[in-house]
Amino acid sequence: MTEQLEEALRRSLRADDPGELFTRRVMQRLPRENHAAARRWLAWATGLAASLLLVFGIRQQVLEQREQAAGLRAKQELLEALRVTSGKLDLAYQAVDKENET
Amino acid sequence: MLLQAANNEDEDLSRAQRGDRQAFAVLVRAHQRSVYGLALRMLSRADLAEELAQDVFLKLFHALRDLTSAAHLRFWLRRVTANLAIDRLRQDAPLTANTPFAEYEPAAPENHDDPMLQKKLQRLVAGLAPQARAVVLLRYQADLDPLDIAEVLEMPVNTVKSHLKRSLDFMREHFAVERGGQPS
Repeated sequence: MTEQLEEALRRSLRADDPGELFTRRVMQRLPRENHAAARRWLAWATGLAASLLLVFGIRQQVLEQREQAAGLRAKQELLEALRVTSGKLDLAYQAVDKENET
Repeated sequence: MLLQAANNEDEDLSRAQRGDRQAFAVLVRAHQRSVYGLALRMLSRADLAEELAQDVFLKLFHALRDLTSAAHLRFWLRRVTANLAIDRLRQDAPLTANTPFAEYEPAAPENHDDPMLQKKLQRLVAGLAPQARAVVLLRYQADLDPLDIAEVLEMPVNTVKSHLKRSLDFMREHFAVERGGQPS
């Protein structure tokens, strides 16, 4: 009885196929590939743009710092030159004054 | 031959995992009968079964990366189909309530090819509680042994055996009563 019943169950419960168009209906419900690809591309491009902006910004900052340092050095050199020149001029004036006194 | 088919399916799975939609369509075609068949016998309604089977394949599409082999894919499909169907039956109890099958059919004849008998058995299975129904379907439709059923449904193997025994007893008693005898 059990074997007969089990055999009858196997026959009765055989799986039905949903038909030829089932696969197409499933495929139509899948997220669109183009949208997914576009989203991936947009994320990639945004990331790249952000990275480029960051690199450009850092580079600009480094250049500005270098320029500032060079300007500061030039200013210090100019002041030093003026100090030296001023000292020499003082000596020259002192020499001239001495000569006039004698 | 079987090994070749398994290899092909492993290859289709790999291609689908790499985003090949044609390969995914091949997987759907290969498994639509087992998924829809299980859903149909669980829910007893073609429209609900179609919707559930589509949902299973959509879930599969999003879970492709987690699957490691064709065997894993088959296991995954059975587990998700059975669990979704059980959930659906619990949610929509009035839609798919156990039917009073006895009033639909005449007494069962002995011939197992008889469409009347087949219809009656389908109704008897549809009258089982959701988990017992899933166990019976995985045993007699998917031809899984109790150990595999236990793994698919995440229940102890003794519970599976108990569901099977009680379901078969229930059906045997039903036929015994219809033949005019006493339930054994």
